[in-house]
Amino acid sequence: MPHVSTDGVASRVVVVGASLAGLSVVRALRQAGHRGDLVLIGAEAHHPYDRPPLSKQILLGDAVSDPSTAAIALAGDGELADLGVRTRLGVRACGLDLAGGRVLLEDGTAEAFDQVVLATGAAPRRPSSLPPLAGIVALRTWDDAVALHAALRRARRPVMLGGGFIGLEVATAAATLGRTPIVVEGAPTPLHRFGEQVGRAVAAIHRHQGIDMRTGRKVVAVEGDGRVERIILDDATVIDTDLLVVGAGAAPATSWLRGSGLDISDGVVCDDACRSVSDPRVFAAGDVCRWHNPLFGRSMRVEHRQAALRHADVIAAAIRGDGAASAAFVPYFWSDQAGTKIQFHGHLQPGDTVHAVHRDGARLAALYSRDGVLTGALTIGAAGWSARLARQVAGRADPATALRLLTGPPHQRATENSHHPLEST
Amino acid sequence: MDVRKQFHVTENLGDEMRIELDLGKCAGHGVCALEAPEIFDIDDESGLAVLRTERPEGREAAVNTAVRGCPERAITIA
Repeated sequence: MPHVSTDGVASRVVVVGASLAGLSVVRALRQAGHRGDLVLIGAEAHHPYDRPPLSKQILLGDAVSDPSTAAIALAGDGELADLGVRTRLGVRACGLDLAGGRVLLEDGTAEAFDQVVLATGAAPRRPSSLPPLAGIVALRTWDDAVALHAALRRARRPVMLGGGFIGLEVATAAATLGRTPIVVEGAPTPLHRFGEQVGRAVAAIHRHQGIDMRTGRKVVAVEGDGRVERIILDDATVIDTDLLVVGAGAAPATSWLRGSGLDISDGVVCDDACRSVSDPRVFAAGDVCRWHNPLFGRSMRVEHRQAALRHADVIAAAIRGDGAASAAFVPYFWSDQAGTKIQFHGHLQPGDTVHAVHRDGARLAALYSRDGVLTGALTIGAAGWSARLARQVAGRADPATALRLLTGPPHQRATENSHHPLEST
Repeated sequence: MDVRKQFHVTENLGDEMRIELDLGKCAGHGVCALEAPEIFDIDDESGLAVLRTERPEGREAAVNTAVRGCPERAITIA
């Protein structure tokens, strides 16, 4: 029997996607006092688990047989029971019937909703030019990570297509496992959108750990008989390989929403409360959510762990009737590469200025801006700087002020430490 | 080396709220320092979180957000 929530509505909320974003919505709703029915639908059979470790510890073999017993488990049977959520794990949603207020599932059943939260994440992009050969893999799920770990241990010559964060983390794991991986990146450096100097610094870190970086090179052919055997680069270099890891970014998993009537142009298009602009009963959280972030005055979609948590809090507040709920925050992500942490706070758009790069020994900070306002800060091996710069991005500081925090005398830093832009307005 | 720090804080209602910061897990993401800057900071030398104050009154919500936001789940409230 449905409970009646404190606002008088026996609201039934269906959450599609049982990863961090979906689970966090369930938690946030209960924490906010929501008493109505909750249903959590997940395509994977596993209990909710955390994804960032997949390309890090799990690839190195820090794995056990099942993610629900591993350190990356997000919630087990006990918590799910305590949350009073009905789970439908291992069954994929295949359609959204807005007129009927139902989520349609692949097993032919449906779940009726008063509100629905779309948290289906993103799926790896696979360039259409890649032939259907065995040994060409991508990384997204627990099952992918366990399989890739085994493949890396067997591989004679693993190649990563793409020098983005995932490609570089997989390369790091391969090198740690004793392989000599090759990274092929079309841009002049890895992580090129963060600027030339950052890219060169990252390339140097990876070359230092024995990774063969082929930057500025494109793959023109992938060949093999049933299984990948070699790739050919645009300078006619032939690389024999038995494992090709595709790190070509991810696309929001919205194909199942085609024809639903929702605006799904690069994610579920939402307002600042993560509510679909097409239907007020529909919300989106995590990688699939394209929302208006008032802090930046921009629409954005990010594939970061921390954004999923923020979206969940805002959605719970909005469903509970808080009209002021707003996802105004500084996106954050990190990457562990060759024993070095790369951290980024902010949001980059093409055309943002790489304003300044500051180095101090092995530490590096790069600042990005648009129209004189700090839009992002990337650090390499400098967690202290990262935390300070995050506050500057949140405070919409100008780049010169932020840079002075890194270069100024100690007393200036102490002053900054007691100033909190988040609280000042 | 002492890898675990503890202290006690008091909620408005007088309930005891204890924050535990496990420096064995902390990886210096700084999410805590962003969510609750009066409570947490990142130490320049170690690159790890430090507790700034033992008087976080009125900031319980921010502390809770920091707990949920920590990617390493290094902060717990007992």
